[in-house]
Amino acid sequence: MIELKNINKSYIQGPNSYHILHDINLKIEQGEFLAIMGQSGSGKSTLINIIGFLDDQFEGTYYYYDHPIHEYTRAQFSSLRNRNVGFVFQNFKLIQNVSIAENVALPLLYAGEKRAVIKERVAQVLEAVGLKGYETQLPKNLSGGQQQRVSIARAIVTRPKFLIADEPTGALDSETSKEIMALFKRLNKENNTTIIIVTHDPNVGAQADRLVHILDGRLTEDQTHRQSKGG
Amino acid sequence: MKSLELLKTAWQSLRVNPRRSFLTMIGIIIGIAAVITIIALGNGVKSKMVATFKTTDSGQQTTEIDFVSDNGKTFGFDKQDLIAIEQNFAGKVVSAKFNNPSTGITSAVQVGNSATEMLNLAIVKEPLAQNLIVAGKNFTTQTFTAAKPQALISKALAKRQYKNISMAIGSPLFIDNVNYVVVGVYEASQQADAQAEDPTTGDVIVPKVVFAANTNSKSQGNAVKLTIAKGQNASKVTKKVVKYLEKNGSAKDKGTYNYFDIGSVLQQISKFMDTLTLFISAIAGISLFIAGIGVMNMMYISVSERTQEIGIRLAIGATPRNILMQFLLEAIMLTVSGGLIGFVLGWFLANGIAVFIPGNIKAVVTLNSFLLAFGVSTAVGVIFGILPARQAANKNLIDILR
Repeated sequence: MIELKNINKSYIQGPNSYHILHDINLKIEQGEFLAIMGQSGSGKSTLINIIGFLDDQFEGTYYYYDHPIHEYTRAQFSSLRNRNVGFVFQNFKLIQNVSIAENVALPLLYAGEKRAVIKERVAQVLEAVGLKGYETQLPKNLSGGQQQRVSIARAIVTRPKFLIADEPTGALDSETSKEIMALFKRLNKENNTTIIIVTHDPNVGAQADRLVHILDGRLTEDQTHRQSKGG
Repeated sequence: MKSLELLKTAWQSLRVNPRRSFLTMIGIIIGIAAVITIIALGNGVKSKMVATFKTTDSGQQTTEIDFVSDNGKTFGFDKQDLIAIEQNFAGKVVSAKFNNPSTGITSAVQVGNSATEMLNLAIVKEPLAQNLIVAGKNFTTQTFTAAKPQALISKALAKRQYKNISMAIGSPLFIDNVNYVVVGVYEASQQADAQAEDPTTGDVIVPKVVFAANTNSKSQGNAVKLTIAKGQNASKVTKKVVKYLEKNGSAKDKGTYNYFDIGSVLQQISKFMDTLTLFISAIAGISLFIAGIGVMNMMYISVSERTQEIGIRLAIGATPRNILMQFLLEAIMLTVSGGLIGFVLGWFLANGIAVFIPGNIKAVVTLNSFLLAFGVSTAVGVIFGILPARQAANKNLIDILR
């Protein structure tokens, strides 16, 4: 489903040029649960920005279901993002002045869905993440774990092909982290949603079916992990 | 994204900071209110002008020439004068007719047995308000239909002539040797206003049918109503008629002919209003410009405060165009709300000010004024909202989410 070939990324800041990603080659199949592990500054965020259609400035080829993403423009990315990918961020990134239901409904609004459809679907996903009855509350009144569930609900509301979670447990305690990881696993199993988790936490990485390491912009597959998981 | 949803989003964002939103609106409110006020008053003056130049259906206008006699007795116009005017101004003046007033007629009156004196007389076509009668009876409809020679006299006159005002009832009263019977005594109404042609401002009131039949008012008069032909300058023609009368009028040596050119007075007021409108509009324009800068400023602050929100929206599938529309709509909503509040305020203000303007001018607020307020405030929103909205739409998503 996702095929990255020889991806290179560098950016220029002032007089200096930084080479962030070096010859990244990565293939992800539908239904995989992948973790990308790396220290901060290793280029993992840059990589998922490219995978998640946030960044169109890169060298190399990126095929998504045979669509040449590297040839797409920024304008085409919006609807691509809207229909294909859901984002879960470390600090939840909910809009603070609107209710939970409205936060979750946003992607559907931008997709141009009908009101009745939106209402039904929002109730459905909020129930799926265990937040039934929280529709009218504001994000600030929820705990961190609950906010991350809202964020996940928002990410899956459009039935995306894959989820990108950037340090989804980074702001949560270990107990809540477990719950969130369990939720990801369930979504992966029940809906066959591809999940890509970016983390620096080995405990989180260990729970994925497949693990890749990124160090100084170079990707290495953790073969032992795959074997230990029986894949 | 549907436009209704966009509106809702904009409203929610503005509601987050109501005080800031309101303060930003104040400039717009003042600007629009000022414009609406002055336009409403200007319209009032213009509609007053139209009403004054009672143009007939065929586009003819009427004017009036008054005669003020030196001795107070001589009439200024007779039939010959009217015929002469119509003949000499053929094509310009359609008709010349007596326009005898119904109030303030000075006439020799003899009440009861006292000596004849000059009194202020009024003629009426219907009975007075019943509450004004303090003794005797009011006129009835029969008085007019049967042309009964009845008269009402004022309380002041009755007191002067008789010890007890009720003694006046039934007394004879002579006007131009015509015998009337006093049937009632009235009190001048409280709102008595000489300009409003209130009959109770005089001393004696008689039915018009009786008075007109018995005096020479049909062949003589102190006022002439001219109907000016279509397309003629009513004021100029009337002035020429006055000049003609001063040379050839039947009473040219016994008094003066006056033409009160209400039209030119109103035109002056109108001109003044036009200048004032221009002046106030200029001030309002500056006010709206500054208000617009305020809106722009607030929108820029809003955009930078809500960078995260913009990033989130872009990340979950909003197009830059969606973001542009959202912020532009916020700016427009702000200015249009201000415009509508300003419109209502201007309406009230115009009505309040109209009370203090002489000449019974009323504020006239039209649909055009509403459209102007709506249009101008929308335009301010678009003009001053577009740049911040574009900045919001062009934010670099990667930088925001970092």
